[in-house]
Amino acid sequence: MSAPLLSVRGLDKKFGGLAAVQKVDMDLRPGVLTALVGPNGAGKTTLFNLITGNIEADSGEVLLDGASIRGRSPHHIARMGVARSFQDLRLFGRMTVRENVLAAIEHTAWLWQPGGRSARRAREAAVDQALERTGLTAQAGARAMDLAYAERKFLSVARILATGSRIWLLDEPASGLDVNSRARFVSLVRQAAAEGVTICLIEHNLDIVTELADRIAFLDRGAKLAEGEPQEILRDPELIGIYFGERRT
Amino acid sequence: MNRKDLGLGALLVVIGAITAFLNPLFLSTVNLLNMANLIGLFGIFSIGQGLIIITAGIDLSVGAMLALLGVVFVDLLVNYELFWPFAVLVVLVAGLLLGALHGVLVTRLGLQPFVVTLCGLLIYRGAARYYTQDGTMGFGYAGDLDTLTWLASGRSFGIPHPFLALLVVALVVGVLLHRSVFGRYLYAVGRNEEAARHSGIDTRAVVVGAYLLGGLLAGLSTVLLVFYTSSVSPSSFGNFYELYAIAAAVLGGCSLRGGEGSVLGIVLGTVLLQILQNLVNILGIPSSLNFAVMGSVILLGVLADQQFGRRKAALAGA
Repeated sequence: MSAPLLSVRGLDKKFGGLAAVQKVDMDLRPGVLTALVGPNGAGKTTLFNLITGNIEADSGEVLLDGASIRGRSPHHIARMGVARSFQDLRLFGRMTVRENVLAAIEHTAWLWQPGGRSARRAREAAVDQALERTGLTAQAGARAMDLAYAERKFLSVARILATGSRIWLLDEPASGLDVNSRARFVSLVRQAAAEGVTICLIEHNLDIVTELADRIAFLDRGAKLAEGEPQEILRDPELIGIYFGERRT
Repeated sequence: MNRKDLGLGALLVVIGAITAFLNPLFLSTVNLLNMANLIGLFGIFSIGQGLIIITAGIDLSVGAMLALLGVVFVDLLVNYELFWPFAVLVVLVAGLLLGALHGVLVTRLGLQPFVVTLCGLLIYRGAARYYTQDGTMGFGYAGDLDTLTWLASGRSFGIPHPFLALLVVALVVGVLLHRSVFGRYLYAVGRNEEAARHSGIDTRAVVVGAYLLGGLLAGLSTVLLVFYTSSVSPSSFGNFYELYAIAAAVLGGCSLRGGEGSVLGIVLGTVLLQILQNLVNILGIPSSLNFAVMGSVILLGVLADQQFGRRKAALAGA
């Protein structure tokens, strides 16, 4: 088994008296797709927020390539190749689809991008490729706010795709997608994983989890209860019971 | 030129034509040059305000900043007899520092721009009045300021220097805003700060950059305005100028929600405000109605823009 690209060690976060994340350990390995599964309020999105620097952990470590990234700002972590999507997408609504993707990859300069025309062509090519892979080429000139919901979901993936990030953290990327869009999404994510991208996704649709995930980490009340192969986790009656609302004692 | 800028340009032509029809003096060279001078004086700090508004911020302290920097500037020239290029440099750097302070308070301490700059307004106005013990500061018998006076309030080819300064500032900031990466960052931060942050953009630095530029342009405006008025009365110098700047930016297409606006629009907004002021004078409307006329036109402009926007959205959705 290859060495983990991103590791979480003993990560802990409390909001007042509420333990949102409790001593979580997790490894994300290159090309391995890990699904974070658990009931609402399990701490899945909080775990993403801790990894990407949106909120600071009370204790524990986040290691990227073995080096700590805890305490780094979200834009630093993004530049280090850890990209994420949000449940509420957070696109630049009044910018075009192309500008949305371009904004995600133009972050290496203040006045002008280095590299002149060849670098600009490379960026344009990366945008074109990301739009083509996500099926948004025809909508390149449309404003993000004018897109249909599924298209906006794919735009959030296109923004990540174009950055060439090594790690994707996807927060409910397939929720609200119709059957066809869901199939396209599954194929897109599979292709990225096959290309060596390390993916961790939060998903409530267990069909998609079964279809995509190489591993599942099961969270409840901020703690990781189990981690393993999908068949192993999804056949555990106790975990499934918790997932569908039976409280553990 | 976008749709809003075109609309504003058309409105300027219509108002200008009506005013000229009612009083042909409107188009006299003297009146036009006087207006150009005022447009230059007000346009520069309005552009700074516009940059801050594009990041979804606001700067209520501009007018008070002009007063504080103004009294310091005159004091340096008159009482300390500092060589004028150094005095100008001090004022520009002081403007940058005040801008940096606002930016840091907004980004590092998470304070609301409205609150930070409202406090700035009160503090700077109070500091300016205390600095001069509420007295007016003038140039009196200050040493050789002929070159600076010519630079700040003279004319070249008949065109007032403040207007030429505005053209240069508009060109430089226009390139920065519409052609550089920093400009795209400003729009991105104003449109969705969190998305920008996760796109790898150092959003704090971008916001601080906007306030820095706002401060720098306020410093430059101070130098020009001091030579326009020839003296600085700390209780009235720059009063309400922040509202002129906000009005010019909003008229020019900047949304207070951030992420929208153009340098050309802000300049056109400034031109419209000055034409309205001029219209009040030239048409013999009581000067006490000055603000009421400006407020009414801004309100009508914003309402019209909103209606056009809704109609466009309805057509797009149809």
